[in-house]
Amino acid sequence: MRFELEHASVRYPRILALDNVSLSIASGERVALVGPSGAGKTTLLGLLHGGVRPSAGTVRVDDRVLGEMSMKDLRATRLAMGFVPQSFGLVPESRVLQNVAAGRVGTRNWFGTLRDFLAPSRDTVREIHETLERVGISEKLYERVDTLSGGQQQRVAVARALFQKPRSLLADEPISSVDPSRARATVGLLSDLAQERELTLLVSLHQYELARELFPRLIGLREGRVHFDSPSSKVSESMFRDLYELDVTSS
Amino acid sequence: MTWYRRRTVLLFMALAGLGAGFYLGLDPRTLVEPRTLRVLADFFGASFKPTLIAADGHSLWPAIWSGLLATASFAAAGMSLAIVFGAGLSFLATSGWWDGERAGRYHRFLGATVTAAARALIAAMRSVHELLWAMLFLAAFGLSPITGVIALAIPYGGTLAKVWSEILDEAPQDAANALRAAGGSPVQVWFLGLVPRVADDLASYGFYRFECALRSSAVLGFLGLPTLGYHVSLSFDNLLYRETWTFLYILFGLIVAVELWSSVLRKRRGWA
Ligand SMILES: Nc1ncnc2c1ncn2[C@@H]1O[C@H](COP(=O)(O)OP(=O)(O)OP(=O)(O)O)[C@@H](O)[C@H]1O
Ligand SMILES: [Mg+2]
Repeated sequence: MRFELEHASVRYPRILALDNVSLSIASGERVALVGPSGAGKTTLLGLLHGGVRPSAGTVRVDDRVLGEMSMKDLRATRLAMGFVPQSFGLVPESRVLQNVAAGRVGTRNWFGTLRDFLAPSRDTVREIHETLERVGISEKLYERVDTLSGGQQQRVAVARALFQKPRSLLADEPISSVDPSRARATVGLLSDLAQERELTLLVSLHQYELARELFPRLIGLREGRVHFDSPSSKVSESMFRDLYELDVTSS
Repeated sequence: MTWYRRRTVLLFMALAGLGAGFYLGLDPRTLVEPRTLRVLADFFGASFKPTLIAADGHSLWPAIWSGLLATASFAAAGMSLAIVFGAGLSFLATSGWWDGERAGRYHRFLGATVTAAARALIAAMRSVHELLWAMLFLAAFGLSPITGVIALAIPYGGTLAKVWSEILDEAPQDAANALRAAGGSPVQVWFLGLVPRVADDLASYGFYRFECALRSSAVLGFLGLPTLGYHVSLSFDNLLYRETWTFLYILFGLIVAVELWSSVLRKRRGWA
């Protein structure tokens, strides 16, 4: 899947969250989005998956403008994108199984939806179990989500996006709640899957080492603007530190 | 509010109360007229000696059972239909169902129109009391069971829709947004992302309304439907106060039984 922002801005009542951002991400690219809290990472990911409307500029997915699509086309486009929200977006009162099954809502009619929710078929359960195995929590299949730890919930959200069988994966700080070794494993999994299935991968995170090691391209955001956008080999540690520097005067 | 404004408001409320009393011709002396006092004494005196034997010597049990059964049946049938109305309308009246669709202007306009229409319909259903609906349908269908069921289902459906849609509007939106992002349709988002987040609140309010429906169903008997209210009014009109109290106690028992049942369910499910 190909993504393109053209002079895109997002204005909230009190703040310009994204300020005239232009960038394009080619199909199959793996990109890390870095930047301090409030830089606009979540907003940018929201623009790309259609959850946030631009106040100016255009968002294109596979060369089609998101805001001009019919409801049906928009749903089909969103079905092809796996999204892991920063706040997970799980239903805590439901089981892990149902939450992961929800990744396929876009492909289900009302009967299938009901079936997945109440009595999923053996094939569906097996497939969900395999997906959970990949993120390392298959034993939690029948647990209620609100009994899991934050890191485990985050992995359920990742599993839901993988179960969706998307053509692209957008993950908003998918490792913010897990320990360092699990963090490496999770991002490594996303990166491996992206290469294996030729997915476009866009992940926001704060870890310089991980970002450089697993992503060929880094985009640095700060105060709603693109600070750098370059191959990760060209991003030095000092550039990265500058991005996060609290009292840097914006150029 | 400062003290002098509070005093003005209190003074105004007192004057309004007095004014209303004069307008209605309320006279406290009617309360202590001998005839009134005798009726009151007869009626409340009978509350200590409810009877299970009717004036003609027959047992009251058949009437009690049929009254109970009819009261519960009308309430259950009315509520079932009300839940269907309530679920459908509360979906349409929830402000979030079309909002999340970021598609074009046309759909947003359509969504806003449908929501406004649903809310107007809910207001219309609620603004007429079930007794008035019953009188209306009595004129149309006669004393048929359908009269009672529809008369209950309309205002109760409207109230369920209003309160449920308010509960759903307050529900956390993150799961709903995630489902939209995965390509879910509005109905799927509603059922899988919003309803489960507040299912307990929706269910407890539904239960509370069921208790209200039992009371309303009993009252519909005053119009001639065969619920407990029918027996209450019949015995009352014939000055058989002891029988009246029997039926009132039965109604009270029914409400308490439902209350207990719902609190047991609540405990078992760990509801607040
Ligand atoms: N719905 C909203 N309404 C108003 N302001 C918002 C909203 N969402 C984000 N903002 C503001 O936009 C700016 C960018 O927010 P965003 O969530 O995109 O940052 P972020 O880079 O994801 O930060 P973090 O690393 O803390 O998640 C912030 O200043 C935030 O306060
Ligand atoms: Mg964020």
